[in-house]
Amino acid sequence: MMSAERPQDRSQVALSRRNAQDRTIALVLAGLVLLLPPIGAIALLDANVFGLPLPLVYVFTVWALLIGAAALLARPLQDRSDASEPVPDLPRQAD
Amino acid sequence: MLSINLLVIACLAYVTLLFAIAFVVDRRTRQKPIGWLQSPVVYTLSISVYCTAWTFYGAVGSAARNGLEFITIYLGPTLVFIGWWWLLRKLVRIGRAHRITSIADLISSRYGKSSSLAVLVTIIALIATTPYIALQLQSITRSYQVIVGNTNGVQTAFWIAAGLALFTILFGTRTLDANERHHGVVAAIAFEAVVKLVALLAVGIFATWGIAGGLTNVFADVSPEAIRGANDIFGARWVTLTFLSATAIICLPRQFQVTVVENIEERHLSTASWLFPLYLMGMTLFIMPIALVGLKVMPAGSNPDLFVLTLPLSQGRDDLALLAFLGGFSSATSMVIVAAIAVSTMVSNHIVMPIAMRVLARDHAVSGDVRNLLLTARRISIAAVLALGFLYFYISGGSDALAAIGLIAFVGVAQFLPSILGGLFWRGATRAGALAGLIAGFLLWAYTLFLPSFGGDFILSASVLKNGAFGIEALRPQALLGLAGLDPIVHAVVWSVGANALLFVIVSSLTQSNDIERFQGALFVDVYRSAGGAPVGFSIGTAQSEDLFVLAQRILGSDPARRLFDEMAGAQGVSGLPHPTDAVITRLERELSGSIGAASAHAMVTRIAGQQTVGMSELFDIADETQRLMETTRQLGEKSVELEQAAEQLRDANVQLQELDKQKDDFLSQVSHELRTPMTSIRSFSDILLNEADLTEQERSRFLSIIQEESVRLTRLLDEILDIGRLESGTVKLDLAEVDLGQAIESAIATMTGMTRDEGVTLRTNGAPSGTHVRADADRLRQVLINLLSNAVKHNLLDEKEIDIEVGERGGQVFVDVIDNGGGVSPEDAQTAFEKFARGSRAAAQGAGLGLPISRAIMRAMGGDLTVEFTDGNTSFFRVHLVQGAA
Repeated sequence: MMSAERPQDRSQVALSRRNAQDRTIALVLAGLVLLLPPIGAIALLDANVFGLPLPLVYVFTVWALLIGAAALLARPLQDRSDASEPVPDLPRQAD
Repeated sequence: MLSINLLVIACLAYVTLLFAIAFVVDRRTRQKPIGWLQSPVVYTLSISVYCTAWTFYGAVGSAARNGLEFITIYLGPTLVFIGWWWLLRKLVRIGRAHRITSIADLISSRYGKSSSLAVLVTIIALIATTPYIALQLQSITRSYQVIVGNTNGVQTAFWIAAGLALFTILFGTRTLDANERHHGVVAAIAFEAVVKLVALLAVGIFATWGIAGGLTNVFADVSPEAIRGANDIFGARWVTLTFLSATAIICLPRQFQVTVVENIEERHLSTASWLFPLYLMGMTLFIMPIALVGLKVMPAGSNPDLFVLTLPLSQGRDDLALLAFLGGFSSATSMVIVAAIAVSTMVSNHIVMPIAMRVLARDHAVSGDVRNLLLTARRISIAAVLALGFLYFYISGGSDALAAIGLIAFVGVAQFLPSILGGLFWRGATRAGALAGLIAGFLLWAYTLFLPSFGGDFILSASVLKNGAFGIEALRPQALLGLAGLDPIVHAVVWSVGANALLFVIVSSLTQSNDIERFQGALFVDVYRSAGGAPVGFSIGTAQSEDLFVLAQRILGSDPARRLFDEMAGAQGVSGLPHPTDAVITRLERELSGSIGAASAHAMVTRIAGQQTVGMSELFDIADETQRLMETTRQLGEKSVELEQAAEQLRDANVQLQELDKQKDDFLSQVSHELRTPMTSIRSFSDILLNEADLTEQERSRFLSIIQEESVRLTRLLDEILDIGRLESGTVKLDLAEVDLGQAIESAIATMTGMTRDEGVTLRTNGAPSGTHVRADADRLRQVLINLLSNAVKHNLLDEKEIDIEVGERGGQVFVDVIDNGGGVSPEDAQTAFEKFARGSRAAAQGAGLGLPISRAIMRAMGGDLTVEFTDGNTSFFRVHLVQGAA
């Protein structure tokens, strides 16, 4: 697969990797801001969304969005072949 | 009513299934790695050991009492996993590179393989984990009692603990896996993760749609306070709990074990980054509904902690109840197993092994296999950890206080956070700082949270709790230094983690790390940079390969040790045992540390192989020495080059001297030759005069005049030789003045009148413009001109001789050309004309041949020159160069 990569492909991958890296920081910060006071306290309003209490809906919605975004970001970061090969188990003595 | 028999059978079947899974997977992976087992999904599921019985049962209880607050326990890990790239990845990378076996190993290894830190972390982990295990035992016991009725809880708990010990020993210590990986256990845990998720979802769906009839029904006429809970959500406690859960997902020993130690591929983290939060969301999705439905449906006063089980039971759904029971069982047992493995690893590596080594070192002969000792130590540790958990449960009598233990344990392991974060990102973090922070944090945690949790029954009496130690109000455990009004958890976190972090930073910045610390620090912080993160060994010394081999055999086992040493020997291209190079020693230390921890491995190799570690400062000295040597070598190199050049110059000078020597010899021989000729004449004629008796008067006077002429010639020759000698050495004094050129030429012509008249030479001159002055010595100039004129006459072979004297001027120089119609000198003669004793081919052999050299020397001494100029190939003339005078 590597041989079919053109230099532009590799730079594209690198760029998307860099973007994904930065976006994970943004994602964590967004999560922190949205889920913690003071911003999160907005969800304390006693309203009902589709018959469900707002705080509940708010937390779970934000949570779901964070997970979705993380899933999207995982792909470009996964391709980063920085990760070393699996460290194999050392040969063990037969029991 | 669920029959006891059915329950027991189901339990046993389930347990057997777990054993079977673990066994099969273990055996299969021993032969070759199973593909799907190495998938990121299994890895993620194993991380879900985070959800213990506390999640399965306790979350509903918390939701019923405190509303949405329970969700913070799962938001923290979500945030950490989303940001995996920055923290988790580095942890995993370091763990793999340095074969870290536990969280105590990580901290100890980072701070210079410090044993004291390892022991401290182990103790804290043990203290925090024991109640947690007790809580799991309590959950299983209670849930069992719910279904079966009031039985002897203690007995149940005991059998459960024993069974878990058996499982853990069997599958956690089959061999001393040098990577501390337990594939069978991981597989069983992953399976249990699925079971508990399915169970909780099933009960949740049942509660929502089976009982309440829809989500909106669940939340219909639910007061906002029910959601907000007793402690306000989104307040200080909310933040603290989120922070604590985020910390726990890293610092809990069982979490570190599954996330870092059992990690097979770093890439799996990227999947876990979203899959694990998704799992958490799945687990917690129906917690609130179950709690609310339970509150509505169940009789008042029933324990909300057990709604997950009692709700289906109350509705006659025995099948669901069984599933719920198994789910709770799974949650509890997976926690206990992994925690037991993690803590027992720490205990055996950092407490038992060092003690054993100290004991064994006394008698030199190490009786029996060190490896067997290790395995035994590990197994005993597992049993001990579980025994402690059981004891704790027994003593606490199943009180409700146990429920709070989860958060207390969180705060306890949160004490590791400053050392870990600092160790990972701050090279300046020192062991002293970590120690100071840990000790302070631990003590404050114990004082503000752990001991008070016993309600005044253990160490801290009730009066101390109320009025502070020694009656000092400022030392009240839950309102230290007057910080009252805070939730106890928040209060404890602020004090313990705050003081921990503060002391860590301050003491680190005030202390110096020693060599190993600094080295390890660089390796850890820069783990992405070091290729493969292989630590370079600095041990030098006289390690014997055989000693090392024996050591490796004892710990790794003979086959693995042999394979390892074969590989290392092969890399060196050596048959037999490899040479104990630094690389070999380092590699061996690394492989050993996978079994017994870095600190023990290092100490063992050092002691048994008798090595000294070269300190960083000594290294720097060596480096300096080398630098100086290199500098000296460089300077020597330069000197040598200079010497070369000097020798070269000397050689050239020598050659020149030899040249000059030869020239001098030539000159001397020529001079002697020249002198001999007239001397011979003088002698021979003197001889005749003396010895011949009958000579006429005429003959006599003729011979005498010849003698006189020759004497004169000889004298003149000697004068010329002296002259040219003086001229060439520059010792002759020229009387330079402004000389009228026209007068000089006239004077020379006048002197030559006799010769020119005799030879019939026509002498013409274009005459110098009157008033042309040159800077010259008048007499010497005349001498030169006369010399040239006489040469022109003598070397002219024609009968009608004509000589022209032309004066020219160009660019500050004055030229006097002496042109004779005989063609001047030939091209061949021109080359040698100015050499001493050269006579030329057209010469009528007269004169010593010193005239031209002398003339040229004179001209050069006057700042001018004497040259031969060619008008065409064969015709030439002599040119006198003169410096123009001022006038």
